[in-house]
Amino acid sequence: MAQINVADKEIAVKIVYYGPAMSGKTTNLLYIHQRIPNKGRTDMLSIATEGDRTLYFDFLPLESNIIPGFKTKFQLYTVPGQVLYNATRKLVLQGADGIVFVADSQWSKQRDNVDSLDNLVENLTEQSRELNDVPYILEYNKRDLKDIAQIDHMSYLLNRKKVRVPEFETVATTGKGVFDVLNAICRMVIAKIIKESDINNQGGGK
Amino acid sequence: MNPNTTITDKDKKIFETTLGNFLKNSGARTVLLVDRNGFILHRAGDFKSIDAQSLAVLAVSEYASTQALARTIGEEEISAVFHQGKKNHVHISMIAKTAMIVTVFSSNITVSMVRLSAREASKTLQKAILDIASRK
Repeated sequence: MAQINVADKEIAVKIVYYGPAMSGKTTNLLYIHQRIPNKGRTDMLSIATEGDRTLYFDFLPLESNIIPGFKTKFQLYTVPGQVLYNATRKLVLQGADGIVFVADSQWSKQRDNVDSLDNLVENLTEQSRELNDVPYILEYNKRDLKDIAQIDHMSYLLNRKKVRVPEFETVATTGKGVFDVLNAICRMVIAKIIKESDINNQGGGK
Repeated sequence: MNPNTTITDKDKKIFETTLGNFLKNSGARTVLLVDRNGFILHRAGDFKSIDAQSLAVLAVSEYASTQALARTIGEEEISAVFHQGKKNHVHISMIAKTAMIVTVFSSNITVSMVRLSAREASKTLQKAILDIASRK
């Protein structure tokens, strides 16, 4: 969960991009990394195989002043999507403050999307957490491809919480919608932290 | 209930003093105090050529892998890990199962000196870490 450093006026939060293999999680982070201004930018850390498949995770730190008086550090992670690497997914998911579920829009990948979402719920349950309690959004990626499922269909399959979560259409390879997703999840995470931590009274307007 | 970790001025002073003494006693170049999620609780020493955040995240992942390795060989826990380089080494040791001390030190310092100093520092830090956890 988030770390609030009252002494240094810093907040650190963890956002995890989850989803099936090859759905575009790493591409999201790569696009963000390429486009963010140099200030506050550090290297993206990737632990991948020779074929550029994520083996362990990707990690991208970002900084902003979204809360007055506090420097906010967002740590973006991806998980490896391949079914085999569930132990690693559990590790990366630990302590996540927000989750972006990156679904593959292709018709042939709908089963994989559902399986991955089920896997996310299972892994959270093992950590005594529920998806309903974590700020979470759905990203329907690869909307530029031809053989893709309609949004209503994907929504029916994946947006099945009691309270529907925000959905975004993206093309991560060109960056379309990628920052909309990032902005939305950051806002949701910060809103939750402010609610839980009474942070507005700790910033001191510095 | 607030599920987030809150670091106060008092915590910061304890970290500053303890890790400052640790660097002095061990002769190490840099030290990080990191929680299990890869968030840096405190840093001390020379970070000019080291990306502290990457070091923290990699150390946490490395440590998690090591714990899986421990279970594979029938150990409940491996409490410290040492990585040997040519000029610089890394030592990682766990505190109260929720945080770790990540030390980078040069090859002219012995690992036993770092290990001993880390053990001493852990005693003070453990109390502070448990205190932070109890405030959640």
